Amino acid sequence: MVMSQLVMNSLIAGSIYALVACGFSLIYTTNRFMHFAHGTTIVAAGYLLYQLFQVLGIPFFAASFVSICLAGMLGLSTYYYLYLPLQKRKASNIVLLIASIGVLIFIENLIQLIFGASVKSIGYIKIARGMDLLGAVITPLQLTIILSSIILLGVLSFLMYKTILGRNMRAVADNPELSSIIGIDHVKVSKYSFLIGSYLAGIAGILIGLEQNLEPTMGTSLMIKGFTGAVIGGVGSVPAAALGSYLLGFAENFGIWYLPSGYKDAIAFILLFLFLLFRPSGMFGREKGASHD
Amino acid sequence: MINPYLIHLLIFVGIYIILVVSLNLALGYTGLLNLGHVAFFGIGAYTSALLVKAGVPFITAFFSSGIVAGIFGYLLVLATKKLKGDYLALTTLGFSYVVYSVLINWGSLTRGPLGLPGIPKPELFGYVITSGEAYLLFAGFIALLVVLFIFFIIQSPFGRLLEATRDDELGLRVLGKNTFALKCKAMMISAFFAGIAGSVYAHYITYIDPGSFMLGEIILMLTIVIVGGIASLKGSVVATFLIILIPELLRFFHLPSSVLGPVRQMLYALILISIVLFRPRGLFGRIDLA
Amino acid sequence: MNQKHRPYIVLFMLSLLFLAGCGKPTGNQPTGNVVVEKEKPVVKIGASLSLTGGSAFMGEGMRNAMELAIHNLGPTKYKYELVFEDDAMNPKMAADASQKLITIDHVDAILSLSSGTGNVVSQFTQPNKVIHFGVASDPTVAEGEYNFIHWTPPEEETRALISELERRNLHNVAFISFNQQGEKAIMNDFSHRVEGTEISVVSTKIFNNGEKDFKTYLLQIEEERPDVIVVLAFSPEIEIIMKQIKELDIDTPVTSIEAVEFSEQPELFEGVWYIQAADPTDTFLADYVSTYGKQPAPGTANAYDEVNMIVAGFERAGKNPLKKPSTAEVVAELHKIKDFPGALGPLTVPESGIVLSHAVVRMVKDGKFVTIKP
Repeated sequence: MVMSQLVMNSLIAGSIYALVACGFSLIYTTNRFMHFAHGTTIVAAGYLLYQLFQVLGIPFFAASFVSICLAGMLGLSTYYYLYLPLQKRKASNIVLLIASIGVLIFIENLIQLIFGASVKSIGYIKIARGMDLLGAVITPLQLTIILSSIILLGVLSFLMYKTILGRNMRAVADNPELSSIIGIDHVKVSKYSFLIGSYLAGIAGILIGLEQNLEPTMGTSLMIKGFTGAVIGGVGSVPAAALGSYLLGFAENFGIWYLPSGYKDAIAFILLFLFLLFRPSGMFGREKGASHD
Repeated sequence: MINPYLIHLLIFVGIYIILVVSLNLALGYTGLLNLGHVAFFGIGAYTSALLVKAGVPFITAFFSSGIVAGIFGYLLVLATKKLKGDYLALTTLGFSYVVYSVLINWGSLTRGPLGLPGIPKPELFGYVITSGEAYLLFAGFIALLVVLFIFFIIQSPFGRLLEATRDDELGLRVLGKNTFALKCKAMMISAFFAGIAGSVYAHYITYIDPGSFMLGEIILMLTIVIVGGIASLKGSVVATFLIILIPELLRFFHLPSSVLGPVRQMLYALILISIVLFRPRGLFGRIDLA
Repeated sequence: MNQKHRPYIVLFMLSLLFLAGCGKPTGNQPTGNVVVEKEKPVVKIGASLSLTGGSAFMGEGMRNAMELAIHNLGPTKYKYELVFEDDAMNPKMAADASQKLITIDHVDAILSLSSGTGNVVSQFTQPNKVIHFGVASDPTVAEGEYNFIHWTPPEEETRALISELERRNLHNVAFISFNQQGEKAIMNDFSHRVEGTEISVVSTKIFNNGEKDFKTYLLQIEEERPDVIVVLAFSPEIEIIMKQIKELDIDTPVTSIEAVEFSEQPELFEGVWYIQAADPTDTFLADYVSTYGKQPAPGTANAYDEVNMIVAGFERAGKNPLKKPSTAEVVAELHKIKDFPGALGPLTVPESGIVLSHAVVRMVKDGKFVTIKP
């Protein structure tokens, strides 16, 4: 009973991290830099849903659809107006990383300016006792989160390995120069990856907003967990990043079962640190991108 | 007679000059994108505060803060020796988080989130530095020494080797230079001064807690370095004045506080983004951010 | 204009602007002291509060209460003005804010919020002879004769909690707590006090800033079969903890200290009894709610009382209506305050400078907060 609940808790936590990690690593795969502002795209989507559904009273599914679309536009325009000019100037990864931290801080504070610092909750689902599933208690929303992350993982794997767009993305990821010689439009592939990655952020924002309520600053902590999950699995591959996120969920929840409770965050940080040091390509990653720049 | 508020701000300018100039030594001159600088700052502050509270003379604690931070700098560079680029940046960021976790959870030593209150003012040769003016002289003097020291380093053959490590590490290795030893020395010097800055900070503000050494501080230091220009000592010093003093001006515009806080942060972010986009060399940089 | 000189020119202009900003209020200062007209001297009360960030709701409550206190003042000898600065509950920003208040605005008194920032403010107020009232649990904030605290200390809250636990025969206690100063102080004091009694702490779970998943902590707590779970957290964590307790179908009773009445989702706490550190009088409560349309936050009523005590100190110490008394005279007068009619009941300033208020037990009944044990 206790063990199955512990496994279920790990799975729910892992799924939330995976929702963050999937979009992030999709963007990383084709662009080879850390788009940290992905975290605020997630939060922005949550706040959009709050504004459309809770404040303006638009039906939930229509409001969600619009929020996801707008999240996609936000990600795409960040690429188009910020990263693309920088990439054209052949700026290094570090410059792009710094620019993305700038965007993260900017949007986070813009949200705070508009909505204030206090917590907002999207009152779509009534709080009620969860249902029994395999000896554990789980709410329908949590089940939706787990299923969404698994379905998205399947869809993304299909996209990456079975479609022309996915083939092009992987080609750009493996060797940007060679792929442009054989006629793949790097900018177009990047645009698609930002658009799809940010749609994923939109979905994540809605599900996480419902489960955890909304705060302007939650993007940073979500990003740190999602990023840690991606690094553990292997940031250069979407399925690996998702698997790493599940692993992080299990490590944290089983870790605090035995360690003092205050060390929950430390477990994630230490795993991140150790993986970056000793296995930067991650648990399931094959390439050794880290040491080569 | 300078206004005491200005004196207070100038003391912070002095502390940040030490931090930023030393960060630029690692980041700009040696090409190590170190986001763990804030951890050295925190380690220095805690070392100095705990030692003085335990009865150790200030001058000993002051140097110990630099030495302990320097040792951690050595360990960090040793551990991350194979990493480059954004992986190095993120691993060092991870290091900052690990140090934060230790500071907040090791309650028996650091009092955890309670922080350390009542850190004594520094006592040098029987004289206790209490007034703002005296502290400004003290902090300014240390900042000046650090700037001069780093100035001499970058002018020396050692400094030129560091820049060569940044520009063409492989080429330097072909010439038979031990680039790892060079990076180690640069990082240790950088961490040493960050630790010293921690000591100057802790004994001025007299209260430290783990939250004072987190993400916001790293971003502030990084912004200053980038605004001033990579590998520019002059740029770092000028940008410290700008970035520390400009947001204080916002206080005099009488904006509502719910606006002021976010606007201050947005201002930093906008400065950072526009420098990266439109003036990648910063104010005085000689080389691009690349 | 040469490209190379541009940064210098920008720098020069900015420094001019800055000096102008700093200089102006200082320049006006002498006219304030040399009384030419028969205007009332101005007493300035400053505040370094968290007006942004996660604790902004407490800072805002204090600011509202300070304005309300000034609004409600009857006829006075002196004119009272307020100056607010934001410190985001960050020690470094509190240092900037208190320096600005002391040396630019020349305030006579400062109010602060939290132990961390209070510890920073107190070391600037003492040498500058500025009165400082902190809303803080750490007694070091009140060190020095110019520094005071007005807050229900952790000892008072644990006393009320323990006696209520004894009354209800709840012996096995579990804590789930935010890793922060006030919460830590309460748990330390609690485990100290229950030594040798029937009450014992069976489980303590501590979480850090940004935590949103408490399911495994709750699972561990339930393993120890506690009689009651004490939740030491504020918004946004406490709502999520309550939500996850309900979702996991945990029926162990829950209690809390301070946080319940500031939740934006009071329906989560229906039927819960809790310790309220401050018990504002009905008059204050009615006045505050009708002015601002919401319940006061922790520290709100304290700020109201702090302003009134400072005003009382100045009015009583002031012999000459054309010249305000020195802060030393005001401090002497503050120490004489006894059974002062405050928003938190009768207040007395003891030798330590720590003004106490009493904790009470309350309950959420049909969405209303009812005192069940004063």
